[in-house]
Amino acid sequence: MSVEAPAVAPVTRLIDQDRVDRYAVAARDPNPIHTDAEFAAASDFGGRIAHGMLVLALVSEAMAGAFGRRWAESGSLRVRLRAPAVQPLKVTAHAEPRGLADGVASYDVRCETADGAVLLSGTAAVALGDA
Amino acid sequence: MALDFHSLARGDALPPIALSVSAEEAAAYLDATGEPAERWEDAVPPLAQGALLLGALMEQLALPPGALHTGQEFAFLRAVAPGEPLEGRIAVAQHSERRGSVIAAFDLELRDADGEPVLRGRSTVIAPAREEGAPS
Repeated sequence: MSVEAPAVAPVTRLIDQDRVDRYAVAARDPNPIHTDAEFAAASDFGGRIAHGMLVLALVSEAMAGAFGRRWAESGSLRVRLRAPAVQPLKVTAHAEPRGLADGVASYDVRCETADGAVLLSGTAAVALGDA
Repeated sequence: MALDFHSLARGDALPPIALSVSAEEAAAYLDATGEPAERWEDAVPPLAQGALLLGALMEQLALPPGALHTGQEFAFLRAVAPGEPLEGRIAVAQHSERRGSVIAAFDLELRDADGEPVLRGRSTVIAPAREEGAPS
């Protein structure tokens, strides 16, 4: 009997202003730090940053890729957003198995840039049920 | 009128939010995030529900300049069909000032038409404290 959580394939995606603009509309997030170049230039970041939820979406995508509908039925996430995603940048979401207990698979998750900067990190879990 | 971030207090609750994610809205979300749409033909991507609930919060709450989304938790309790009517509940779980910053945490919940929760979460935001003498 395996006691390891199933492997989850990483997801890599380019996050650029076009994607951020489309996400701002789709998620109805009006914060100008993501979309207004003049506003963002005057901020501490010096430019527009991607939504933390857009970066987190890569983790959700990786988990859904491994578990499908079960992710929507029993998944959970707990992350800290550690650094602003000043785009454009290529981001990879990783989910490393932590263990399997009582039918729940748990993972350490993180999103990092191509040069290894960690944008977010935390944990994810999903119930495997009877399958 | 937008709620003032600095005037919030623990225990404050926003009015319930009617929310429904149509197939078109889910498709727009998936197009923006880049996630394959085939996976979610009969269910709303769970994080899309959370994103739209947060969007509803942002429509009601004026975040001060320098505010940062620093933490996020979600528990997805069941799959939701496109177009299914939901009700969002948002409450202030924490609002405290420390070393010139305000840490605010918002408890999030989406319920179905039977009142059963389909998603729970918590968002944490850190923002600069209001300067003394600044207008409230």
